[in-house]
Amino acid sequence: MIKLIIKIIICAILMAATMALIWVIPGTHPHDLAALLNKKEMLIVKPSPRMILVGGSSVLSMKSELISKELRYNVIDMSSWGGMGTYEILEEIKPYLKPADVILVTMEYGTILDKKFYEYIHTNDEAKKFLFLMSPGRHILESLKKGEFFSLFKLMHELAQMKTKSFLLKIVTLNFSHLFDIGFPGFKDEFNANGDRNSPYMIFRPLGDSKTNFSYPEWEKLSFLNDFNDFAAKHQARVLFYFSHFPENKYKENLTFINAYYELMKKNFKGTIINKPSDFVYPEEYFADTIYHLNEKGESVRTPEMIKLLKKAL
Amino acid sequence: MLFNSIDFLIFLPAVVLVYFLLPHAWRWLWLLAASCFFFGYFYYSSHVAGTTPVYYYVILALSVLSVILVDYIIAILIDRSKSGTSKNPKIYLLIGILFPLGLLFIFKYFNFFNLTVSQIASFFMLNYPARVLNIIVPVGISYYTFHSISYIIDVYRGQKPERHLGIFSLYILFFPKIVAGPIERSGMLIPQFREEHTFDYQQFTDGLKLMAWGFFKKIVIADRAAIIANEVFNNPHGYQGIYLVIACFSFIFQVYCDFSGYSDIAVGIGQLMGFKLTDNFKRPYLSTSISDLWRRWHITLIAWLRDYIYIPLGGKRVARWRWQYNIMVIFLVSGIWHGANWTFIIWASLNGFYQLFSIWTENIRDRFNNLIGLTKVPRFHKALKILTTFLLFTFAGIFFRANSASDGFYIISHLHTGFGDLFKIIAALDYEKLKFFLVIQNKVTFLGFAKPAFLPEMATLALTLIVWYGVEIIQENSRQPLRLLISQKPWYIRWALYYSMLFALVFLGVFANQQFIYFKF
Repeated sequence: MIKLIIKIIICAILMAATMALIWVIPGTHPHDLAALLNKKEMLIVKPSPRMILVGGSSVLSMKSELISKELRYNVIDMSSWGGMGTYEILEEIKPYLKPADVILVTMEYGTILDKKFYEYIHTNDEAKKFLFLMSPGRHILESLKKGEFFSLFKLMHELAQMKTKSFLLKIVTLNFSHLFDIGFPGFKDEFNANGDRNSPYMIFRPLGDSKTNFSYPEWEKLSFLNDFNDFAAKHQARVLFYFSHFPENKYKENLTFINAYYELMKKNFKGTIINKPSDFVYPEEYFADTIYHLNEKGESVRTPEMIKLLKKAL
Repeated sequence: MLFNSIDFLIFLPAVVLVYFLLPHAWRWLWLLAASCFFFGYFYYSSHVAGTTPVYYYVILALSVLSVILVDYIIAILIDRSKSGTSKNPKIYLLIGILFPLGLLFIFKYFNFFNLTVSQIASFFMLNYPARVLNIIVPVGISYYTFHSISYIIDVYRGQKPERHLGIFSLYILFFPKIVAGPIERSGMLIPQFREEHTFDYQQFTDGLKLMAWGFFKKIVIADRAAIIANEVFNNPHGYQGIYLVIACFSFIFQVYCDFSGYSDIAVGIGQLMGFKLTDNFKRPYLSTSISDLWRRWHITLIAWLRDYIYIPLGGKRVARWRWQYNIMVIFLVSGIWHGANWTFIIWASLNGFYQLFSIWTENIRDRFNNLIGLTKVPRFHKALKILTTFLLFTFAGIFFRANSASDGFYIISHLHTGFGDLFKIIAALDYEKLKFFLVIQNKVTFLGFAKPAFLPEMATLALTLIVWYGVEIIQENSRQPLRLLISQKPWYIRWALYYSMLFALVFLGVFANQQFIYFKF
């Protein structure tokens, strides 16, 4: 029996050591959201003056090279998916803010006006994993303080599994050229130097709308924007907010709630709001696959309009 | 409680530890309590997860208890009647068979039967409103029904009945095999409960290794292949040829690795405590014919059908047409046993047809093989036979997995579609079109996986399938379990292999607590 227990302990130690090794060795995580890690690298490396874009996937098609050229800012597109949560992303970028940074924030309507989606954002495990990757030390401490040992182990284990499978693919395909890259394996192909998508979203009809069901917004869910604004001001950075684009028909359908959202922000937000919701309302033909994603045509209109608004605000 | 759950990870060591600490006289009671807990935990977790009222689970539990009590008493009555102190044993035999079968019919087949009668009635313009009972099928009902029937028949055939109600209950409820077999004969298992098992290090570690191999098949291969199979089979109309083909192969690997994985875990658990349970699979995907495959697949079920239906019907010792009829009956019963759905009946009929077709064409095939010289290259011939058997079984498997017969026919009729475009696109190296081909409209997933995860998952699946298939071939050729072969190797090779196995389980396993396929039967 003792022999057996010793062997079980040896096996447990071996597995723990392997997990630690997998964590230490650089490697990619085959998941879109792992691109956040590559974007974090940009955040560390890119010099001032910088414009940091924060939002959901609606921001990914922004032509930030044009913004960069017109406004002479180094743009870092930190957006990935609305489901990550704006509060959570802003928390992650805080340690990397530099004086004179401009943080351009948007929140897709669904993320704040749709209660179910709002709840989902703050409970979904997928987002937690990649936010964890952004600053593992901080998240480990937080989890330990809360006594969430099992969920911490589960999360770290799942991330280690992802990395293992990524290594495995490279070994199976004998592709060792980018063995120790980090973040999203296809980052260099799918994203440009500013963190935008290289290719436009594909066009599908009918537009996906994630079954949105809007209701009146509550300031408690948005007050973190002021906290972030205060933090940014302390670090001589500036926060600009804009209302995201939306298809005409959906905008009209939800006008009451969208207006309420606008009024709430106007009244309470301490930073700068650069537009009205109606500024970025476009016909359906400007959209790609969902009510949040513009197609090439839509983006060619949105980005210049955005530049105009930014010029006014800056 | 699922074998692949955290709960079981706590449950099993506790059960095994206490089992060895207890004196032999109390062990049956401990195992019975553990088995009741294991069985009840399914209902407890279903109740916590769902909205079904508690009393319903009480009814389900009572149905199992009633089967145990009725068959326990009936077996004693049969024994008494044989010694001339009571009535005709045939009446008791009938009651002993019909009671559990009746419960099985109510819980599992009543709705199917009712709907079928209703459909037939509407075909003849008759009015028969089908009343559907909103009931949950008790976990493992097909298994404990077959256990109890085999026990009653064996007692009728002369085996001594078990007088100890606790031991008999344990025979029915023994937790490693209650939900998905193996279907153990009472004559083999009950005496083992009476034997005193001491802790045997070699046997214990052997059991652990078998369990690890079972978990490898289940959580590394089956649960990964299941993601593709579930995605496509649950929405076949959303996919075309190539995806349907991929899903069919995924399912056929899934179903084997899932069920044989479960069986290995069950046998391994038994072995930890010194029990010898029957192996349920013998590398069926290396079979050279359909009849060979059915001697290697779900062995305890097939043996049950053979001993209690096929042989009583006359087996092979009857007229040729009657023998073939007997074969078909066995397959149909097997299909119905698997589930109350036409898909299982079609699946079983197809397999029965394969068997009959191979009998009818045996001479012609032999002559043809001689003519084209296949018999002169026996290895190639064998490989060809294995491949053909596997493909035929895969084809029939479409109905095993399809949610409905119409889905099954849809899949079959669309297996060949879309290839032309795909080949053209690949030939033209048109990456943009290929990308579009691989995108499923408005879906962030591809064949059930997040798109960037698809290739790594497929590489993992392919690699682990190669490992599994390699092990199967080694075992087939060596005719002894791989773990015995490994135990003869130097320590560093053994540890390297154990480490690789653990690594695969921990870092490549799918930990989504996916239920075993055969739990629903």
